[in-house]
Amino acid sequence: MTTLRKKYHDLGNKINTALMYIGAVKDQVEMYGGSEEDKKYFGNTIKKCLVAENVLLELDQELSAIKAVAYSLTDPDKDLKELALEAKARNQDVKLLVIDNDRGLCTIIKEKYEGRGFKVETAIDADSGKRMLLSWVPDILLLDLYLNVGMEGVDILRFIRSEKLPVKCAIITGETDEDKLKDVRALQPDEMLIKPVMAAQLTAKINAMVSSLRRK
Amino acid sequence: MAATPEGIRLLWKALEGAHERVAPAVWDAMDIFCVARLDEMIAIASRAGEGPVPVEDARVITALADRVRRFLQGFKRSSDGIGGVKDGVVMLSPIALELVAHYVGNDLYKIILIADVYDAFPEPLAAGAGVKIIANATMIKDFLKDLKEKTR
Repeated sequence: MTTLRKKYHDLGNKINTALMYIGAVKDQVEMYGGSEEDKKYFGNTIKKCLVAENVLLELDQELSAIKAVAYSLTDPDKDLKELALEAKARNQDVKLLVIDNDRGLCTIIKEKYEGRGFKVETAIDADSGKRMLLSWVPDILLLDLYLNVGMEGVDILRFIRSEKLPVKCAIITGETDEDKLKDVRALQPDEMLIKPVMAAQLTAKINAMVSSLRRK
Repeated sequence: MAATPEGIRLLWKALEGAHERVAPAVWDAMDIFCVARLDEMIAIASRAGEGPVPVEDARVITALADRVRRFLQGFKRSSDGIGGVKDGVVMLSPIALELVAHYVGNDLYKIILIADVYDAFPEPLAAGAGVKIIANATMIKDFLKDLKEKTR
């Protein structure tokens, strides 16, 4: 049943990704000016996007139906709310550290995930972040790349790897230049997300890291 | 350079030094696909005042933020110092692109996290969330205004 759940979860993610790409194509086509002939051509592209979108939405509905059956088979008396409460109770053993130089962002993430049961602490610079890593020993780390004056996030990741700290690390950065991200990827973070990240995506990644912690 | 206050300051300085320009077509696209959606978010969040933001409104704000996110993530680097809109892709000169990615990325990320509704417990956003959404959306708009001014 776990495999089935994982399958519909993965399928749901794929559908969302496809919808996202179709949305991006629609945005770009809508934005394109060009000649009347171009407009006619792109008008057809928009129509095709709408058809594809509808197919995906139908698939999503079918998937939801399968999901409902899967839930009823595993937990006949439990609905989404109860499962979420169970997850919240389980999360109380999980320590989440956020290292980001944006204090406002740290507060938002802390409030959000404390509400979902996690123990959350924050640090706004590399030094206090390293201290928290050693003294508080988090299970999961959400790490920004740019902290005090430069890309110290990568130093923290390097520190984690060299000290073999048992923490799952997700890099969350606004950096999109692949050349600059090479060093970071070489250190194999558990997750790598480019800002702005959708909240559902962030939660899914955190949940995936929690699951992998529990499998150990 | 970086999304730290010092990094952002250096990027602005570098932008002035490099005399980068941003093509008018980019600003047209930015107005339609980013600023108009930010305005819509501000209008929706304003309805709640300092009170809680209803679930439906929060979901609309999230959807708008997602569309802005997708628009911005489609930007590509241009090497001609001015960029433009080519084949439906927004091209920005390197420093302007870095500023947009770091500055707008962070504020939009905050809006997304604030406006997120937990599906298992779909409750209105806490009082004050609307004010924070407006503040962040306004900061993005102000940044874009500054960028437009400095790359004219």
